[in-house]
Amino acid sequence: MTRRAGLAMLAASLCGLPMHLASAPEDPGKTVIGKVTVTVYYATEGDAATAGAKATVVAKAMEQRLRNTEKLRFKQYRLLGDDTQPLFRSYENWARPLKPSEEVLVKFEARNHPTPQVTHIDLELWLSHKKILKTDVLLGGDHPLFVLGPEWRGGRLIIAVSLAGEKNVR
Amino acid sequence: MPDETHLARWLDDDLDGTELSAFEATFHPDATLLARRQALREWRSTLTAAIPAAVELPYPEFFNHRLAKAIREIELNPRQPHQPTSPPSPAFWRVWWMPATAVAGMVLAFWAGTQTVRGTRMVPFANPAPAPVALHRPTVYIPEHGVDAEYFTSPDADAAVIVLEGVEPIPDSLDFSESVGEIATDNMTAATESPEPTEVTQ
Repeated sequence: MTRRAGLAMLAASLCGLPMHLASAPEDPGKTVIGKVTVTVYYATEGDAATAGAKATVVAKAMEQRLRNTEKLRFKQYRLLGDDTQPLFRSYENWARPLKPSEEVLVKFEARNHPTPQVTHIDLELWLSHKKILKTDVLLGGDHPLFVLGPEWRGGRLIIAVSLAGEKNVR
Repeated sequence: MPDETHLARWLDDDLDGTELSAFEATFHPDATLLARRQALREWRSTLTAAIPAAVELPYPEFFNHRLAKAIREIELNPRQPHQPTSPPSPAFWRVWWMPATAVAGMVLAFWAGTQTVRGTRMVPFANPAPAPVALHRPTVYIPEHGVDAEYFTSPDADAAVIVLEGVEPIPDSLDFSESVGEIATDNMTAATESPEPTEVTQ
């Protein structure tokens, strides 16, 4: 701990201030440089109702996008869950799209500083608490990554990783 | 002994009619020269077979530029003084044979390049992905035994796709009904301080 931080803590304790109000400067590694959304779809050739009553219909545009790729082409799609998490400058983060379940987890971390066109991230897909896939991916403004994942209730799970919203590129 | 120009044209089968008769009346090539002329003929026939007659020379402007450059380099390099009474020196072959080989190689390389481009699937112009994204080839690592991954880009979906096969199915008994619509809070983990969350085991 630096002398400056120590003096700040001492002053805070003497004045009765909460510690976080008198703490040292913010960690630049926590700077948010983007947002990552992980979405899990259920795709099946059978009855989509098997996904559960709360599973929602997928937007037409996304459904068409999935159908455009032969390996992702199924008769029915349902949205099971999504999670949007900040992309930090030098910290990893986790998305839990099916929470409270941790059956599907995605860990991501910035590989370098994003440009307005692309964001390069390291990504890991964990299924049933096992690391199944590790890769690096370039995400563009509207250029996601689709992962055709495990079987579930007669269909397959499709995990989509994309950038979300406006990025705070510094 | 003929001059270099006539000798080169004879080797290239460029002499005909009276020129050829006059040349052959005064010049009697030895076995080495005859063998070299035969090698040139075989090389030409190989080249003709490799490049279909209906296909135009690829990238003519660039090819002509390279050809003109090769000719300029030949002109800039002074030739060895010619000795009329002696057989052609090795420098003669460097001047004529090497540029011809280089030009033939360039033609073959350009033609092979056009064939490669024709076989490549082009990304549609409409709604194209940013070039770095479309061209990026990620590293895909699968730590689990028995799991295969196939990576490809889908121009139609404007997305990168990884297809996993051999993954253990998720039990049907698991219900994700509660997950729909939930937005998680931050669960940041310092990469350099804490490698994995405690609840996740490998």
